[in-house]
Amino acid sequence: MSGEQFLSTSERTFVVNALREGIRVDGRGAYEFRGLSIELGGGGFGSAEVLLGKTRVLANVSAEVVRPTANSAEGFVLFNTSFSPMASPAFEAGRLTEEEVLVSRMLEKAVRRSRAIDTEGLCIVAGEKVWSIRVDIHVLDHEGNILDCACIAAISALLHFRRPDVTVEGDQVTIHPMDERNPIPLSIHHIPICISFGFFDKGERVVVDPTHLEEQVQDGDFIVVVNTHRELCTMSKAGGAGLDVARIVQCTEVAAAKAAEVTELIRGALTKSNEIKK
Amino acid sequence: MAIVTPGERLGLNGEFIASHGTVEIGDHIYAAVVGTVTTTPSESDGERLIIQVVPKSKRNMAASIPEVSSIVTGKVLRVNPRMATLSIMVVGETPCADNFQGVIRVQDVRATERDKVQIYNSFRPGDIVRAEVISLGDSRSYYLSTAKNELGVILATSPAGATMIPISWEEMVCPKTKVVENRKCAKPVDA
Amino acid sequence: MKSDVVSPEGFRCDGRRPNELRRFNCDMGTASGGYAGSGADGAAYVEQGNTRCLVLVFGPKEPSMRSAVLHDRATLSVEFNIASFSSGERKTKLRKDKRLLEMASIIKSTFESVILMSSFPRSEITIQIQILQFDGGSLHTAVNATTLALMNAGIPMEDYVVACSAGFGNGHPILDVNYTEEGMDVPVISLGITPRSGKVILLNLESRLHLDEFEKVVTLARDGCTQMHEILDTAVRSSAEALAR
Repeated sequence: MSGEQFLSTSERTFVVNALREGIRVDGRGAYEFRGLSIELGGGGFGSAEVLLGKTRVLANVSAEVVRPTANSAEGFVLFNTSFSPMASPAFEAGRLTEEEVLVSRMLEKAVRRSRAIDTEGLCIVAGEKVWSIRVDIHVLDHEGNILDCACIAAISALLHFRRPDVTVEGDQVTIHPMDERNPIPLSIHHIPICISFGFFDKGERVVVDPTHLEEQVQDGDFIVVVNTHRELCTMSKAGGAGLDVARIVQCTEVAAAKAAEVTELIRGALTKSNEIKK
Repeated sequence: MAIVTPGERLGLNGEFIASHGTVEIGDHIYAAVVGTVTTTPSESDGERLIIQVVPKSKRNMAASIPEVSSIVTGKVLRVNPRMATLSIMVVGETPCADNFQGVIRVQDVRATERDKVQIYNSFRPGDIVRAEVISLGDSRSYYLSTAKNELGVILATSPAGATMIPISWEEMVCPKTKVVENRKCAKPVDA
Repeated sequence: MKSDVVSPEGFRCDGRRPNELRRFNCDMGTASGGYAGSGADGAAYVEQGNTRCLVLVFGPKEPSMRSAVLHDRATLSVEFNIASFSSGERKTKLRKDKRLLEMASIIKSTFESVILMSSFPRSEITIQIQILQFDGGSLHTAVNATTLALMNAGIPMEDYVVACSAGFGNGHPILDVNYTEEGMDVPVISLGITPRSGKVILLNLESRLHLDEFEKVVTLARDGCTQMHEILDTAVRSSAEALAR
């Protein structure tokens, strides 16, 4: 917590009292996301810069051919997060904070464990050559809710990414350069969207997409990763104020609705970037 | 008496004052540890009783901790020309749950001729020393003093392995080899 | 060939019914017996089916890291270890495996909100968790064992934290999922509650579960937790009574 600004008691009580009257400090509704803007292709295929309110995250996807483990016929999807010191005075270059561990684990669970990406389709020659897809996440600006923003950036980048085409003739493996043959998009089964909730007043008030100020004041948090098929991919709540089961179920419904909205925005951004290419 | 476990409701905070081992949440008082409930009348508040949960564990939660001017007993870990470092094991009569570190600076070894003290002639590593706490010290160790007649080395082992016997306030002799060694000895308490 | 998680007769692969917990066994006060040498203030050993977990609690004591001292409350540090001989294949543990760090972080956040931290300013409480045998449900077994160990150490807590897991297979919600069932692609919810209020303090899901089934599974997990609470409470009381004699 070095360098992090401490919060005064007045600010804390202000946020909680405002919520008791149903008002959030930035004027949003309890279940309202901040303005979301997704820019694709800034760094070529597989590059996405997402702005959620003032939180800014950049995701870059790259692919390389590697040997698989043992005799498996599946490729790899690796995540690498870096919390840049320019995002917040609390981040130091090189030191792995607890928040960073949680964000990178959440992304791995949301995208990799939920089998969002078809890893079998990444196989070139079984047991010898597979694609290893690497997603680099850079947190550029921290104004709350890095996790949701990073997840949207990662998924958008993966949807936007195109890998080189490969032909296998017997033992001969040819990787065609991008200008020779059209690159191929990744095979993605479903789009997991992460929705974070913040709780205040011993679990009585719930908000979606907390700002940095709200994150510091909240009693507890709750993270739901859900896709448009209404499947829960990941859920996480540890510590903080206790919640009723009914409240949790209600949150999952809200999360499903929000996820549908965000998926629409992502699809819109993808269509727009495809049109620009044409 | 019946045993209570954490989370069990004990009463209303209008009837009881929450004390050790209990927690007050809202209007009620709940047990916070595993143990038996005791109630005692309060001196200040005539209407409410003081309620406590006494743990049954053998470990004493209020384990002894050195305070200023308490007499402590410890073992010398190392010496250097400026000070002797002790591992404090007993405070008064009760053993400590965890060993604390203490130092006896060269000027606190004895009350007279404080500048002429040689630490190596006062303490050796392995000696058991009785000392008084003079300060809570810095973050690493307590500051101790043996500048009184009844403070100093109470037990020392000679190189031959026998327990040495004090013959004066600054000498101890080994009963086996009859070799005399220098120590700042504690005056034996008359039985 | 994919075998059924729940057979048509209503039995699971280990012979249990869908809403049956595994056999539970625990031993508190191993601190005074076997672990006094380590200096642990509290210890508990828990067996849930074939999953075995040992938790040692140290503290409240002087903090090991001076920089982490808080002036008004204790600091909690949790270490989560899985023994290399714990599962079917011997695994040499990767140092600082992110998954273990995450489990430790989850347990730390969970207990920080239940232990009365402000009773011990400027001190540290250390919890060391060791999974000795792994047959699924390591998170919830570790949580239960930690609750017992903290009580054994006499550290004041607002309430128990009891945990249980539930999954969904073959259209049936199942309670207390074991390793084989986890391998059959059964989504597992690990749930931890404080029994006095019935509120959820820990919830962990790592595989896909349809939203429509969610409420059934989480309610079953909550009922499992209530059963676990009765079992744990009985164990705590009998151990305390044994200590008194």
